[in-house]
Amino acid sequence: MAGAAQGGVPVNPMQQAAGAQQGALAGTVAAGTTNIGTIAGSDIGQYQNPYTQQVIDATQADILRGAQQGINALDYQAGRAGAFGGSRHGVALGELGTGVAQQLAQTSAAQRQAGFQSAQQMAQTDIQNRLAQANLGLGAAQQLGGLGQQSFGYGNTIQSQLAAQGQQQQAMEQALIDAAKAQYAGYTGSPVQGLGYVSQALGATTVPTTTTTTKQPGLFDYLTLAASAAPSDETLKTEIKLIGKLKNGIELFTWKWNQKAKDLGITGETRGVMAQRIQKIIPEAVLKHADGYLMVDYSHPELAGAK
Amino acid sequence: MSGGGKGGSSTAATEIPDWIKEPSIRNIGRAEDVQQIGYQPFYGIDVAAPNEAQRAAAQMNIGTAQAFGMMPQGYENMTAFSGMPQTQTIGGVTGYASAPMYEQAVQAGAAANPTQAQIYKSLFGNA
Repeated sequence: MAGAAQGGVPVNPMQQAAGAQQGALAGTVAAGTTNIGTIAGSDIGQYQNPYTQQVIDATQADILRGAQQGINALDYQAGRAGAFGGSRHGVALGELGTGVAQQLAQTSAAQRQAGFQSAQQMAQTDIQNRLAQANLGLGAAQQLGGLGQQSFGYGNTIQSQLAAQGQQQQAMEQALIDAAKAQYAGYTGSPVQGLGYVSQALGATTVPTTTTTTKQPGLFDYLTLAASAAPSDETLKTEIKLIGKLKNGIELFTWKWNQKAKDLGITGETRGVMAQRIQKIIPEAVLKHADGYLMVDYSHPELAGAK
Repeated sequence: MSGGGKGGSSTAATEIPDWIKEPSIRNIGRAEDVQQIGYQPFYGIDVAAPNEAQRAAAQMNIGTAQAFGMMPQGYENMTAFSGMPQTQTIGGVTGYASAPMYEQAVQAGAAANPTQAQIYKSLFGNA
């Protein structure tokens, strides 16, 4: 049924389903409202044989003919016996008459009864036929309803498949749009990304630097530092020995002045720090003497206790 | 930093070692060159197209719907992938590329704002 063509145009299964559903409903209603009828409500007369009376008449005529023959025989016998018209003859005729009357009545009643029963049976058969027809209509309606459901199922399946196909295509197009948007984002973000290249190059390596601070003491420095600064150049020392450390980790040494120091007239304290080492960590505490050697300003807070 | 006069003078010099100085300069120069390249679009396939089996199944779906009279008016002649972009085959793979859509978007942006597009363009290709 589904897909059946009407005039060459395929019929939409959903339309078929709707039509079948309506047909099934109408068929069910028709079957349910069929007037099956009852024996009591039936007109039995219409089922009776219209020739029943003729049959009865013919049968009765036969019986009467038989009775006439019986009378004739009784008359003959009575005549031969010389008793025709006698009392015995009369009694015999009477008995014959009674029997004939009874036979006539019984035969007629039996035939009428048979006729009624036959009519009743035919009426019953008609009722059964109408019932069967109603059941047939109901069955057809049910079948139509089932076919309608089948058509509806076809329609739904096809529709779902089409929808899924459309969804798949839409997903592909969406993926394509997303890809194009990502490309456009790459395009618009390209200048900023370019900045990153230079920044990365600048920051790729931690560039080590060396800072050298050189101080040429002036007259004022000498006057100021005379009391606190002392020669401490490592190149003027000999027999240098590590004797300990300050709390901040600065190493303390003892030494003896070498010949170069003696030539420069340097004498005095032989305990303290090494100028070259202090220059790396506290450059501002190291001064360069006019003679070229380094001096340490022991008044610097970091060197408290170093002397 | 330096000072002079009666207070003497003090000089502080910070220097980058030679072993890192030259490579750093070259690296920065290279970064500036790369900066000029600009965005390089992808012209290959971004989304794979349905394969033969999927196309056949899709066409069968359409055929079934047509046979059952389920194609509404205006869709009677629809095919399985009508309305989809043109596929491309690159390296034996068939699919859809986003590059044409991207280029259209760039052109549309330039048409909508030519000044902005010119500024953008001037950022690249000057090396």
